[in-house]
Amino acid sequence: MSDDKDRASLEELESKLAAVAGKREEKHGPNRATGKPSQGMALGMRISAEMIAAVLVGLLIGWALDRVLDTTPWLLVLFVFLGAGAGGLNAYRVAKGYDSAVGLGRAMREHKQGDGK
Amino acid sequence: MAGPLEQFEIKPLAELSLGGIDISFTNSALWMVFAAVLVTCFMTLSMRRGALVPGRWQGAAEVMYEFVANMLKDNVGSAGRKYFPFIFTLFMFVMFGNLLGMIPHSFTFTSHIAVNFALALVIFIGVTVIGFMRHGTHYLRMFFPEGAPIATAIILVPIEIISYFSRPFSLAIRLFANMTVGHIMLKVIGGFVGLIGILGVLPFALLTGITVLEFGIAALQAYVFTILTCIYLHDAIHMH
Repeated sequence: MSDDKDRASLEELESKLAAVAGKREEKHGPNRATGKPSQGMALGMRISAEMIAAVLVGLLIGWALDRVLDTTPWLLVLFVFLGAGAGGLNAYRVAKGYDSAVGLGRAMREHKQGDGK
Repeated sequence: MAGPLEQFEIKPLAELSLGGIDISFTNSALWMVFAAVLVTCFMTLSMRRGALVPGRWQGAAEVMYEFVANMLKDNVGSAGRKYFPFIFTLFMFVMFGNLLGMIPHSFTFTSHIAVNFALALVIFIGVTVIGFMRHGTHYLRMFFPEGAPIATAIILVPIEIISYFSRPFSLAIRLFANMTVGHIMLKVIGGFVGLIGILGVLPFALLTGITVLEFGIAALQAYVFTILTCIYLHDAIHMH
């Protein structure tokens, strides 16, 4: 019935809304949800996954480099420690709500800007 | 009574092999096909009419669409719009996989790290390629935190690189751990119900609660998987 007419006026409204939203995004950048620390169990699960994953990757890289460079076991030992460091860093990021963004300095700056506006 | 881990067993339904590689059609693959078919049916059938005032099914489909579209817009910005089909497919596939796993006697394919890791690896490689395509070698600068003294690069760069490579692992491990733990818990507590006679009502009540919780986790983990993909995409597109 009046479906077509409604559709036309809705489309008009939508294009107006899109224009406003576009302007806002131009000014402020994407309205990114500044990750707030999530609750309990989910947060614990995320942090433990981050820490395990980082040590695992360190282990894998160390093992692979050892095999290629024939330096067993020194690089493995080194990279497990680096992996643990990365795990700590990742856990810190998750806990502070900086997400998993690589580059802590950048994430912190972005976070500050996010708070400032 | 079947052990709590038997539910995760992969059983080949049709033996196939290609050049010595075992590519049998398994129960895991069967449920993946179910998930893909169900998502496709859900989206196409409910949007068949495309009415201006949505009916029940169309309403559900539109909620899904808008949920993912908003997630993408909030986390990536309008530059992420062209990745919407992939993100939406990913979200629906993982969520249907998780939810189908809640049907008794079904198989939860997201409880296998091989499946999750394959998904995560596609995301990881895709995001890295997008990053390099948009920023060239400039993209490598994200491995050194801004404002740190240059002498610390020797430690910080390897740590940041490991941190970057840990992304697919943490994505995969998180989904796998959540699904596996939930299903084992259901099975173990379910085992108590019959064992302790009349007192079995207690674990049964607990089981009811946990089942509700598991449905929540199934949806939540699909959400977490997708939103982390969005965050990685954001990093690759907007590295300042």
